Amino acid sequence: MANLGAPGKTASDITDELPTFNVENMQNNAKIIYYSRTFMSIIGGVIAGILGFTGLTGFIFYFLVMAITSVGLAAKAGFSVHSYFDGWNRIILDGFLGGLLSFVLFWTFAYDLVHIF
Amino acid sequence: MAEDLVLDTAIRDWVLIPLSVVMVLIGILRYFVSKLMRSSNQVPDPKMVKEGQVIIRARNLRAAANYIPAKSFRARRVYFSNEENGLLYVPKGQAQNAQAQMFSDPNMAMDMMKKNLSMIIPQTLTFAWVNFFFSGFVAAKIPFPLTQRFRSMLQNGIDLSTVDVSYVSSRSWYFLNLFGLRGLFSLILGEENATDDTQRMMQMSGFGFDPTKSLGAEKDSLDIFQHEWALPKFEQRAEAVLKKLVVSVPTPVAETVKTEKVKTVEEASKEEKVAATPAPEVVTEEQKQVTKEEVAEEQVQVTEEEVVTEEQKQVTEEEVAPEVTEKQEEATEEEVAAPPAEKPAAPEAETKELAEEAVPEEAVAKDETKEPVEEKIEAEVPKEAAIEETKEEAPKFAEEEKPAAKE
Repeated sequence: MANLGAPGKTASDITDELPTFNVENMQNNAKIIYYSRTFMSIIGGVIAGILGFTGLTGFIFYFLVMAITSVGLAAKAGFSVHSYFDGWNRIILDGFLGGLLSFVLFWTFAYDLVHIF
Repeated sequence: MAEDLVLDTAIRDWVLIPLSVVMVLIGILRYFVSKLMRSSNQVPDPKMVKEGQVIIRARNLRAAANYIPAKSFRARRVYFSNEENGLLYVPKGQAQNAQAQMFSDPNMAMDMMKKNLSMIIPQTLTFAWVNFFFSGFVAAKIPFPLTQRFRSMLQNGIDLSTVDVSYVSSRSWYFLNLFGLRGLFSLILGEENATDDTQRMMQMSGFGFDPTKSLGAEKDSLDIFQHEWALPKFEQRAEAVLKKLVVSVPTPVAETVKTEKVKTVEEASKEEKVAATPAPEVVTEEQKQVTKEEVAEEQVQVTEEEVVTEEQKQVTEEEVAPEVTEKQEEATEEEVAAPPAEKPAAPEAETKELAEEAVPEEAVAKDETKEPVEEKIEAEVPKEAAIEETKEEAPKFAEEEKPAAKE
């Protein structure tokens, strides 16, 4: 993921009342969020499987991983979220459930490999 | 509590892993095959491309409509949705015609069939293979419990009804892989991967009905749109910004005052980044002019820059800098008389037009500064170059950065 590059600035510098958005940068940032979340859900699935989470614990772990991803993205954006994204919603909620299926797949895979050997 | 079944290790080695590996490989194969097949017929129909571009133009108009005055927005909207010769207006008979033509065109039909087949065949084959070879035994245990109603779906080959629903057959492992590997494919294949079924469906249906329905849809949404002028206090805001900048640059010498004012005004204008369509071109052009002309620091050229800057702002800064007005009125006459010998490029010509039109306007009244912008817009609308305006909005940020770096 290191070759994805840093998120680009979306909103313009000084306009206080009218935010104008650079569409290409916004799309680039959205793509970065998507890739980050997918990657983290796969890794989280493998971890959950190895640790042997079952049932509800696993799903709680998924939400935990998503929250960590959000915090990581916010940190990467220097916590000045409004200059990179539309708002907090985008960095927190976007693609939240998109990685769920990948998570479940890799969770099942790792769990079976390790525990029901 | 369910008993823990002990499952044979061989199942792991010979079912789970091979099935996953096979599905990943088939996905990659499908991606490359679709790439190869797509590159053979790449002749886009000019009519379709034109209609697509018109739709993009209308969408851009809707997106940025709040940055242009109401009158010019209405002018553009009429241009698009006019009854006789509006771009988006498609009479009913013609709409059906396009669709029928689409399907009878053999190339297009073959193309769509090929895309369909390349999607469905691998899935069907893999599913049949899984059913044939891997049926009748427990393949995996899913780590979360499910209700009894899922039993028939997940345990199709297993005929024992006392087995926990968590123990699933290989068919369900196939489906789990099918949905879960989409994320993995998007990571390893990049954005343009053909393995995402839903995306492909949308793309395929988009091509067939794009010209007929989208035009009507765009026209309707454009008609519905409520224009809200987002820059009502633009003049005051610009004045405030300029005041701040001018106050922070105290110099006694007259000439340096002018040159520095020019610079600060340009910086202010650059920082404003108002997305009005004539503005970016004028900004970039006058920045280029400024950097070229800065070498020869003559009075005329300095005032010329001021004129261009003033017009670009379309705001009456005369109250802020009264001396500039006098010079400006002299310079505008000079500018009108000045031959267009600078550069014959089209955007420069637009700047000239703006200058010429701005001369009578600014001398007349202060609250009509929006009119030269509108006249320029209305003169431009029928031009094909207007298509590039909206596209220039994207690189305008890059262009403005470059002259900033130069300065």
